[in-house]
Amino acid sequence: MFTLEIDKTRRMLDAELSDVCWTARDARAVADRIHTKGRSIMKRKASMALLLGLAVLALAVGALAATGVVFGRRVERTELAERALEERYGITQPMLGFFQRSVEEDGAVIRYTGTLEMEYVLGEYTVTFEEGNAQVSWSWDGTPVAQDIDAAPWGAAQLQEMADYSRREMNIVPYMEKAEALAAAAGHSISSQTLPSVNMDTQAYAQEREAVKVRMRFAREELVAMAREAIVARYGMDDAVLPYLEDVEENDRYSLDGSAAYLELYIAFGYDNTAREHPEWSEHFGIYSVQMDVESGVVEDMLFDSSLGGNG
Amino acid sequence: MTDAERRETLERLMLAHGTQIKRLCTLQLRDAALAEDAAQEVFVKAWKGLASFRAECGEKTWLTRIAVNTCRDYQRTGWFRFMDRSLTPEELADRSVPDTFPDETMSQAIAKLPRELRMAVLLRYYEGLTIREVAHALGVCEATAKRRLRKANALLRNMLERWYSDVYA
Repeated sequence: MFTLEIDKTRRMLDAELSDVCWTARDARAVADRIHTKGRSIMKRKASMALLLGLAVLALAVGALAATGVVFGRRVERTELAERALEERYGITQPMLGFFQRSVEEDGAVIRYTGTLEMEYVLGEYTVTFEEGNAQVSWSWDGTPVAQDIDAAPWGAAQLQEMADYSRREMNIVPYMEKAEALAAAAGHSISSQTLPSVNMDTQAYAQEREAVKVRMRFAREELVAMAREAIVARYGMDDAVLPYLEDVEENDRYSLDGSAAYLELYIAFGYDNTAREHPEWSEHFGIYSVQMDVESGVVEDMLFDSSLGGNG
Repeated sequence: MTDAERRETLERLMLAHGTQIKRLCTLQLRDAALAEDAAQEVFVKAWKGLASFRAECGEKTWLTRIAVNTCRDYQRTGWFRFMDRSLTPEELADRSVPDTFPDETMSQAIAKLPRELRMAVLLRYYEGLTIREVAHALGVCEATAKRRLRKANALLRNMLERWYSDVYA
């Protein structure tokens, strides 16, 4: 009488499926998929296939559906970098307001350097990427984080203390003075790092701006809507905050970079000057700069500044 | 686990279990191209989960669970439902004794089982999992797993009795 038995069933099935084997081609396909994931387009709500479809559609007909936001590699890398910073050093997004971010090699290296007087005590975090994974190191690695602000280096505990103070007192003067004193005692000179600035009154900039505008395949309002969607998606916020994300048009920055044309938008949330005040305090309060490719609608870069460190 | 260790582990897993996982997907999905895709997906998921894998259940059982879920995901897609050729137990009763048995008798008979029964049979009799492991992998209680296996046994007996007695008598 027929009855299923483990060994016999396995032998029979293996014999019948002898042509089905794991091959080097399968292994290569797995490696490719893993590698592709490292450079993949990020998503929210919609599936990756749908988003890719949307991106292709946008390039083809010049209209990206507002339900999907496509992020460029730099955004993805920055997100990975921030996650690595939090996992290894406990540094959260609002704390990054005390740092200046610089991106090298199209996002292959991202650095977060303590701003101005803070440079010495906060040091510099460097994030590199290998096969889509972020590796982070700190210029103070090997030196224990100080117990308080009377010694360097300052880590997550001091950053949190500073953030709390900044929110309460609207300044961080005592911390800046302490950081400066510690740097001086160590013989460390404050670097001349400056925030990037563009003179938007020049004729050259006016020409650049017009050149970008000619290439825009989306109305500015569409780009702003996409930028708002991108902020909500990228920073894990609820759609309910969308009406409170205020477009600061006067800060628009048009730029050409190689063959690409960008519009950088500034979106304020819960910031001092925002007209629509959010009913509750949020750790997401701050300024968001969102760099949009005006032809594809891809979000090329994003930066959140909590304004706690006076970066804004 | 460093990246190099992770890569090394993945390569070892693919070498040790790749063929069996691919065959399991083939038997469950009954579509060579889809099964190949699913099997590759299993190892991509394994790669992602390697850091959190605690070896409590053994590599093979772990990979089998991933394969079960991956096949289930594939079977949930609209495309698969459209293509699905599974038969109900009632339909099976009508077609229980084919006139001839080709070489792939066993796999074809299993392929005709409804998908819930099919996966239970594959996990128990092809992968060699215990009843408890089968139940865990399928997300059902042990009694349900046993019931599915009994039902599958009965259906397969209908389909294979004559062939079995010819071959093994």
